[in-house]
Amino acid sequence: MGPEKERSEDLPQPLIEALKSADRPVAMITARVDREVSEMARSHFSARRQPTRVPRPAWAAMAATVLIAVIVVQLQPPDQSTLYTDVDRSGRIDIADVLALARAQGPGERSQAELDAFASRIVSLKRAGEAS
Amino acid sequence: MRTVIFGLIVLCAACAWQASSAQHDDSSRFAAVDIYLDSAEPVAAWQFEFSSRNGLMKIVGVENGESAAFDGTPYYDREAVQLGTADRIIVADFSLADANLLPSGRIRITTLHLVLTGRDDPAFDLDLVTAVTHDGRAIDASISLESQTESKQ
Repeated sequence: MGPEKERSEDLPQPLIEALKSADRPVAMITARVDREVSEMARSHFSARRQPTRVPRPAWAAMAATVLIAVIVVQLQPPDQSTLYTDVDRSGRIDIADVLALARAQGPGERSQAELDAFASRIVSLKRAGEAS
Repeated sequence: MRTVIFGLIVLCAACAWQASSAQHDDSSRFAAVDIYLDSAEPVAAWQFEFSSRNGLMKIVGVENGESAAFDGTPYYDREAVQLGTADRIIVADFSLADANLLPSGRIRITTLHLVLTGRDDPAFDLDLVTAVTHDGRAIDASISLESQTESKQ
């Protein structure tokens, strides 16, 4: 009999039994199991949506952009192309349309500058070149 | 060697003289053209187009006509005229004066100032685009031109 045998015999029997039952082989986790567990975990957590939170500076930038857009739209001059039309319905836009526009309006409705702009557009060689 | 150099000098001088005489042939000159509108009815607005048939002209100025109802300079493409690129022009004007103050008959509506180039006589195209009464009714009017005396530049 060796010294180890003698020592184990010194221990109480229940302790010996408990130690023997605890002494089991460690469960082996294969690479396949590891991969499957990882995938399960990934799919589980990806299903949960993270709340989208826009940081405060981004909100400020968006508000500033909207404000600038509103200001730019407000500052845009009115579309003059609607003014330069065949007012007298002669089938052609010419100086008679400027006269018709000037006579049709009430006082102060169309400024002299607008009438001048219309007439200048009619005599513009660039415009006449584009039209021909 | 001296003969060669002398020959080259003579050749250069001949070329320069020829170029100079060619430039002299192509000299430009000023001209003025009066534009007349003939209408039996009082005219409240008119528009015409003027161009050169042979491309030997640039419009360099536009002068107002003789009617008090059209007292300002008529409308034309000022940019093209100021840049000296106008080989044609559209001229127009309107008046908001009362019908009894509007002109009728043969009236000088504008005078065009031109620079003519080349030796050939200029040939012009003049088209009346529109002439209307104070209430916008089209007038059966005619348009004509008269050249004033020319001066060398």
